[in-house]
Amino acid sequence: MFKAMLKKECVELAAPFLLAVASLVALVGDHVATARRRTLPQGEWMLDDDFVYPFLLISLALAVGMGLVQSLSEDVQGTWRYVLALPGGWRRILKLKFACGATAWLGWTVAAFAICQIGLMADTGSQGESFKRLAEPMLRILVCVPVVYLGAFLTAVRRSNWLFSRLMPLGGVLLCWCTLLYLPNWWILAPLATAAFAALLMGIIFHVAASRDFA
Amino acid sequence: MADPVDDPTVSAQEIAMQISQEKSSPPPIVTERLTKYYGGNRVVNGLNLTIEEGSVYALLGRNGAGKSTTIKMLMGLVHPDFGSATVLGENAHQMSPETRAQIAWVGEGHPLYRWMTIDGAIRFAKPFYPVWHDDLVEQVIEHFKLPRKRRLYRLSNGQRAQVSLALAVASDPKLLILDDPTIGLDTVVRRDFLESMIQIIQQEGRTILFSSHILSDVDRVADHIGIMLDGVLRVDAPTERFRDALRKVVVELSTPLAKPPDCPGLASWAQTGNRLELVFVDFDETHQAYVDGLSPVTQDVLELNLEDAFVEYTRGARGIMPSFVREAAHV
Repeated sequence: MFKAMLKKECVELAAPFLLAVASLVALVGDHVATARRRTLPQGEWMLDDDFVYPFLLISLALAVGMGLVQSLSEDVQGTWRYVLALPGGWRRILKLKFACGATAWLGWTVAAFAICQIGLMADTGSQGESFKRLAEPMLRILVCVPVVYLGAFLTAVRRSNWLFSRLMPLGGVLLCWCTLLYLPNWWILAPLATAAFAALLMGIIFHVAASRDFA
Repeated sequence: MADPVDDPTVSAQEIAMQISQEKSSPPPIVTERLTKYYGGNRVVNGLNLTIEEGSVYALLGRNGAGKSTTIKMLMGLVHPDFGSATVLGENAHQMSPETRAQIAWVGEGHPLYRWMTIDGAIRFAKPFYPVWHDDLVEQVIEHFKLPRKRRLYRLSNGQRAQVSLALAVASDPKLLILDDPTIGLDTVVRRDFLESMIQIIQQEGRTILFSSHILSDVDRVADHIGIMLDGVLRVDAPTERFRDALRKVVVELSTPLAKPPDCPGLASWAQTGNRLELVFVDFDETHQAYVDGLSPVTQDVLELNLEDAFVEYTRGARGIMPSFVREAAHV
């Protein structure tokens, strides 16, 4: 059962994932080419707002896309009814979805760092920077964005008649996520706050799924 | 098979145990005052339904009568606002995976992952069930000549229904719940689908609940019917009993009736000029006396097929409609 669900989720998540990877490859390629022309110090582009903000947007889009693909697409296809009528039990199905989402997010983290590392290798700038320092803005984004994925998931699971009220969870999560990015003592507080917030969101999703009708 | 009561080799204790086991086995589906509201509308209203093991029960009703909502409540997909639904001895909303594994559900519109191929859909569903009969799936696939490598979105509605049926039977379920499985299918495919269903039914002890709009199908398959009107179960009876109970009396009057006919057991009536049509439940001497009292010029008492009986029964005024609900669970 686990393998079957995993495979299904992987196939469904492949499109947003590959789109995000392709966008990042294009972004990194563009920055490496520009850095070469302007003979900037090696890897400096990774700290540039022109790289960090597009990377942030790609990550946010991927998180929202993953959340919606995993929940809204079941609604649109009418397959919540099918998958919940299977003997797996809805709690297990949701847990499997979250596990697949987490795995995809880890995959995105690895892919993002690998692509940037390859970009750095192709970079011929004069001064080398430590990858850890260069990757810090990316890491901050990658640590906090999972709550946006859960917010998107909740947005689609929660039923609402109006688009505005339907988007409220995602809006709320985005606001909280902005605060997560700028917490003091970031390396200690942000991961803890993210984990706590993610646990809260998962609890809400389980509650919403338990109380809603899958008509 | 010899009756154990007549078999001298079976001890009295064993017979008692067997009878006790038979009695203790709960009916596969029991609902008590099951009620559901959508907005301010009561779509299912105090439904008391008992479906016995081995029964083929057709749930009928016009659009919006509450059939699909009832089925979704039985599958635990929709929460009742009041009352309870018990399926295979468990609360429908808290069914264990083991119990769910004994139930096959074919949903309205055949909700399956349409990007999957037929083979993919089978590979996806199989690991969820402890028992899976590849041979049964093969039989259905072969019978309907389904293209295994084709994606479901490229199949016709009929083929998707057939795939749903193949997936449903593969787990050898004790209970099969089908929500309007033949909707949108042409006559030939529908007949094929139903014949396959009949084959499945023939397996001992299997219970089937299905909703349908197509009464000729129901007549061929179901041994019991339930008719829902505005969320209320108005008829819960053996199919034959319902069909045979309704009689249409067509009378030609010398002058049209001045006021609506009023007689106990009158399900519906229609008047066109001097021609009056009356549909009675359990037509008897009282009804005949009432008709005679109208001083008709001519009169005919007609038997109805199931479809006509359904139409005549469901178009009657709700307030005066006689009910057919069993006093006790049917056998």
